[in-house]
Amino acid sequence: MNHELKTIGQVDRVLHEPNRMVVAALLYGVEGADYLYLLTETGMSKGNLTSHLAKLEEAEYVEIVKSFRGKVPHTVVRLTPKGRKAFDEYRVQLKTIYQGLSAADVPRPV
Amino acid sequence: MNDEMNRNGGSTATMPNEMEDALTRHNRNWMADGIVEIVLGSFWLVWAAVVLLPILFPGSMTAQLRLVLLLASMGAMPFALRRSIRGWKERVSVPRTGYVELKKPGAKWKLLYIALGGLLGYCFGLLFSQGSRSVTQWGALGLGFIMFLAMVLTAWRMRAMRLFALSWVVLAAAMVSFVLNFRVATCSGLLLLAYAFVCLVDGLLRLRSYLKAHPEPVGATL
Repeated sequence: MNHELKTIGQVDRVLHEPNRMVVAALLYGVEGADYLYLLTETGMSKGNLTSHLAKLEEAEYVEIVKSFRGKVPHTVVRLTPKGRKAFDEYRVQLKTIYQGLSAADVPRPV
Repeated sequence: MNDEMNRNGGSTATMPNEMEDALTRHNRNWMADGIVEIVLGSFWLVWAAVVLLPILFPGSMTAQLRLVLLLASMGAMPFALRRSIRGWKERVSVPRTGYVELKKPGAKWKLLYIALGGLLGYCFGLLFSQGSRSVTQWGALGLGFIMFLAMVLTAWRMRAMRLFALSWVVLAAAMVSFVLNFRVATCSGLLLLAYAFVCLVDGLLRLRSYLKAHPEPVGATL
């Protein structure tokens, strides 16, 4: 198996889902963000976002802290160190794959 | 990016460019409501008033207290800036588009900020000093150019065409002051006024579009 193909096989399956990847990318640049921010930025439905966050939490990539701001419930999501490391590795893998693709003779989209 | 996602039914392509866009999204989100610019613009306006009022009214109280007022407003800025931006954002943008906790700058960045602040202070000090007139005038032009570049950089990071267009006002103010051979205090006052004008106009227009695009949610949970 060549290097690019091996990289494709090793890609993190938790992060290699468009919505979860976007959530992780949004959280990577900040210390933390609340549920509403993620909802606004991703354009996902509440149910969809909740289920993706649950998957990320299950993999210990994010921590979800529930609190109150006055009387309003407030959910803050943070990327864990494990999640940060996994996202770093995922970015490297993705770049390697894309570099391999751009080097190959791939038909361009019209 | 979220427009793209909505078109794709809540899913987006995993292109690295889009990922890079998501990684820097918080920068634009932080500035999207115009609050940072309005608060900054207000500070610049206070400084411009402190510098320009004694020139316009030489016998007034502000003329005697110019240095004290300038130093007091500069000293209060870091604390007041943070508190006012955070307080305003909590009331306006957090209920509408959510809360983002930005990363705290590392030691290297803090040192860089302190060094840049010191450099800026030194430049202003040079302008107010009794040194050679040509040096101080060139200093005013240089300072105007630095302020212009800072605005262009911010505009580029925010992909904000209006801010880019308005930033030329700052450069124009610096060049006009230089060409017309204004006194150094007048030069720096005009620069501060131009900077405040750009920040306030762009910030207020940005806040207006933000409030239009994100009406206050009723009974929302965060």
